[in-house]
Amino acid sequence: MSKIIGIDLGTTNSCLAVVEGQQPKVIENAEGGRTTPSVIGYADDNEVLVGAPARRQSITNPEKTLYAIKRLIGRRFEDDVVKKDMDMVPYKIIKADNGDAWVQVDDKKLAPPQISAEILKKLKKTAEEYLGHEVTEAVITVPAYFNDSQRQATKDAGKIAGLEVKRIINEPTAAALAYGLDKHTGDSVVAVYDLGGGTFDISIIEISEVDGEHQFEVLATNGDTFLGGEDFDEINRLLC
Amino acid sequence: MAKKNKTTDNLAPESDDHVENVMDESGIEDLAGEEKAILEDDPAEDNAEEKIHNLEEALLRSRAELDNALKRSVADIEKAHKYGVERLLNELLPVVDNLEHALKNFSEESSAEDKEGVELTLKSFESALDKFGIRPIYPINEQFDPVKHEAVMTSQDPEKENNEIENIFQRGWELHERVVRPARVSVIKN
Repeated sequence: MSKIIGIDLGTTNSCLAVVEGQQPKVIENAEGGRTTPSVIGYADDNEVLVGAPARRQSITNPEKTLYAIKRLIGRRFEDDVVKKDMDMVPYKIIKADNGDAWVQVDDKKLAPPQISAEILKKLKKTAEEYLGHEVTEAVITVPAYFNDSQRQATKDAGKIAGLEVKRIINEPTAAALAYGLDKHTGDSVVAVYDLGGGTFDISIIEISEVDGEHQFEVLATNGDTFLGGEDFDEINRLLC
Repeated sequence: MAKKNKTTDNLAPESDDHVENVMDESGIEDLAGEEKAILEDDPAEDNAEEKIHNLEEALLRSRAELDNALKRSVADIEKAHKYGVERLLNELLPVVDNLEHALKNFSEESSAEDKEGVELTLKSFESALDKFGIRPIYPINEQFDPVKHEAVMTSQDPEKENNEIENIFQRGWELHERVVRPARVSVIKN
């Protein structure tokens, strides 16, 4: 029986875990990292670089080094977030025939799920090397504010990578589960904040117990999709 | 005796009859059972077979799982041994960097002995690291390789080829074949 892997497909970094003996375990990638930068580089020789190597060559190849694709996934070209992103990233964001925001690399037009799939492929490979068998199923987390189109696009990315996405889970819900908040009895309302590399989110979650089962409901969620740890690094660099 | 015999006789046929009856009855039952089995599978038997099949499969699966877990734990232990010094190494690398800086920044008044002392210290440090499979990455005259090098800037030089490493700002280090720190370099981009 092949295991289902859990993936946090982040704006800046992505992380992979499996449940081993009822405990989640983060799997290190080939470079020894517990997280993999969500960066994809298309080198001149058509080689696709993913993760740390892609980030290390970004300065030499800025138009073909794609990062923060999560900001584009499942969004329309006219979306304000896309407009804002266009001023910030060195790669070319274009309007696809269907009105979605896509990315152009040389003469290739790439849909965000296609790009994110490269990260998922790498994580899938990491998991397969670790587990010793093929992996075909995954659970992927997405921000609570993701709409249907963004969730579907994330699922599509999984499909392109050869992963059947069994479930899309809200990131704050996954955090609450990992923290063992489902072990508490009775109802509770908790705040989960997620200070990531590129985004900063806060969600208010209601955990209610119904017939011994816990149900999670995101009551409210908000944040800044353009503020994260990398911005703090940038400030530090400027101050140094 | 006669009475007794009679009784026995009486008993015998009776009991025989009874046995026969039972046998007949069970025979009919058996037949009916067989017929039933031919017409439609006995659900109880079917369930049992399915259960056995499921259990066998579960057993095989858990055996394979255990096998995999064992393999993984052996690999994990190996890895832990191989890369266990990584954390310590991360703390030691700045010390190596500082020794290198010191060598580059000796004032003119410093004696040759002072410099030699630091040089030897750095050398002994490096050879100690080498014993643990820790080797520097110093890609002079090499092509840029993002697996081992990190481009911190690009520069132009028409006499050099694209992607050639122009300058090394900081050496990289690898532990066995894993890059612990990439070499920080400038790359030619004409």
